[in-house]
Amino acid sequence: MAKIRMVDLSKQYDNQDRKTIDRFNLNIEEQEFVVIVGPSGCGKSTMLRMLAGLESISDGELWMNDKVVNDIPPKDRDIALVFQNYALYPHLSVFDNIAFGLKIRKTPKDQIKKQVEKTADILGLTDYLKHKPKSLSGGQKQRVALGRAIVRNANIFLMDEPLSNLDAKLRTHMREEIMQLHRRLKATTIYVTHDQTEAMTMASKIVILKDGYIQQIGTPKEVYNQPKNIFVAGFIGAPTINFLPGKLSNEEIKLLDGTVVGGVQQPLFHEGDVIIGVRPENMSLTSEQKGIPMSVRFTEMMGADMFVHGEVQGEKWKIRVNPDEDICVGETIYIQLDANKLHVFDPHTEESLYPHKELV
Amino acid sequence: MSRLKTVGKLLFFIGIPMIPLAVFWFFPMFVSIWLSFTNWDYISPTFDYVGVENYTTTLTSADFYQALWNTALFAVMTIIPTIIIGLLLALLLRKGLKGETWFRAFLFSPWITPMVAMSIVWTWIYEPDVGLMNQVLGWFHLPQPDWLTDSDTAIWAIIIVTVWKNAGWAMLFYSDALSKIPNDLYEVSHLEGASGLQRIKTVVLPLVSPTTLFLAIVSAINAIQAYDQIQVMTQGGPSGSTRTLLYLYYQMAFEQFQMGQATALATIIVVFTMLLSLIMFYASKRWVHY
Ligand SMILES: Nc1ncnc2c1ncn2[C@@H]1O[C@H](COP(=O)(O)OP(=O)(O)OP(=O)(O)O)[C@@H](O)[C@H]1O
Ligand SMILES: [Mg+2]
Repeated sequence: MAKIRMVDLSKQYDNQDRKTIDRFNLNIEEQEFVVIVGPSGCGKSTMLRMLAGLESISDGELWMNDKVVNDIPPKDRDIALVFQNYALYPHLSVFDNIAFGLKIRKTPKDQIKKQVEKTADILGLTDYLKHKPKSLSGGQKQRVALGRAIVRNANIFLMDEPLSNLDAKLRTHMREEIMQLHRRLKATTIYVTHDQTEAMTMASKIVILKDGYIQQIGTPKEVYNQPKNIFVAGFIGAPTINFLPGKLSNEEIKLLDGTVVGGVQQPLFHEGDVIIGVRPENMSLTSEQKGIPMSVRFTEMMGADMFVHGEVQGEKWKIRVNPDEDICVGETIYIQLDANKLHVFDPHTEESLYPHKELV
Repeated sequence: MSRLKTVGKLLFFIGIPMIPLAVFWFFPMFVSIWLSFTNWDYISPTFDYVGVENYTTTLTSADFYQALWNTALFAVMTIIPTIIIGLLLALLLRKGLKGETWFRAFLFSPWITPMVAMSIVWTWIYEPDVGLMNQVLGWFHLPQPDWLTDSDTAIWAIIIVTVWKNAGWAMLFYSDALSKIPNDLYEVSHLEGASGLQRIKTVVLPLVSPTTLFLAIVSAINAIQAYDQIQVMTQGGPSGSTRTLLYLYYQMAFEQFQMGQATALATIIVVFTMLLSLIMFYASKRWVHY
């Protein structure tokens, strides 16, 4: 099994004026499932390609199992990479696609056959071994791509948005399959996605990346409950968190008009302007006297929940309510914030005012 | 009624484009097949039907077999190097060298230069005593043949010119085919540790195979129809060593005025071309991946 350590890893493309990845520090333990998540263009693929050895490392050190591998070619890094658009060879059958790496490595024929058949069995591809990729569905293609990765028993799996070409239902399904595969094979996995749902549901550790900088590292729970800054708070969670300018004084969180909406969870010794963040599920409907008014713009019925979208003091807000509530568009509703679930951010640095332990 | 209308429409839309095809292709073809059963001499107003005599004469003449051999040699020896050199050039240029566009244009320029003009230039190059070719060979102390006047080397001289002309053209097609191979596919083989040669064998060749088939068929047809370079450089000589089937046809028809025999030969050439294309097409099913 494999440990990975990245020390001040940086990437500067020749034709870019700023670093695509800037001093990336991360420790990955054996068998961990790490998800790197961030918006498009933040450098996720670049990061992964540096790990794979497809992209050179401009600065810093990449350790795999107590060895610096900066200059080690991909084939000797004991990694397997799954590409976003499968990267299957159209002229090869499923069998030959899965066997590709073994053949290049000149593995004996009978062993190739054994390994490929075992892999196909795990992935439910046994009936398709003779098919060409073009006659497969998206999910099957992705399974073949996974097969090519697992057939070699690599110790590190790298996956670059492997599910983004699939439709929503299949994506949920494959997500589960990948998790099962991980539980079974126990290979250290680094999974890149721009989809926060994938990150939250799959990761044992999430790394949130923006413009090449790590914003926060933590378990799904940590990044959700203790976002380190406004970006993370806004990126994680669906529907997204609501923001509102406010004030902090005497360790009380107030709206600009002075309404006290909650207290801090620990002494912050901070006075003055803040940005209040509150998730749609940390609010409830209340009576006119006690609540903050919100004018309803539209509602979203999800079945188990209903989301009401509207405006609070000029900011767009969402709130989760019981689906049985009868709320009309244009109506004004009154909401109460869960006093203990409020996030407060510095309006200038955009950092959370709550201190964070530095995870690496 | 509406059925009639559809048929009328079909006739209209298919029929009109067919007119030039019929006038300039089907009609001459039938006339020439018909002529191949006569002994018309190209000039006299009269002729006799001679049955299949033209075919038997042709198929039993030594000239025919010499020309057949020359054509086969010429075809194989132009197609294979054209394809290999074209692919290698395309692979080299894929790396994105500086001034690549200029280099590409330079390599492609022989293709757009008229064969006749080029052949004249090459005649000078092949000149045994002062020609560039033998000068260069001389620097490396290599044998300096008489090229166009030696029956052993004349066909090779023509092959070289033809390959030189076609390679840049093949390169262009291969460049396009290579650019359509997704980068991931190279990366997969890189990750698995494939060597350059392995990569060419396992990724590049199968994925450009449709282009290879196309180039092979077109080059084969070009080889069978080669005329300009032979006419300018050797006129089929010396002693028939560069006389291909088409050139033999030309000589029969317009030097010896044996129109009957010439058209018989032309028919045979057409049949050969068709057979060849068919064979290539079926053979390709095994190694061409779309
Ligand atoms: N080969 C390259 N040369 C120069 N710049 C590059 C190269 N590859 C990526 N970049 C730049 O690096 C930045 C990050 O790209 P990257 O592909 O890593 O983003 P990403 O996070 O994977 O985005 P996406 O979610 O869209 O896949 C982008 O601004 C991109 O323009
Ligand atoms: Mg990417």
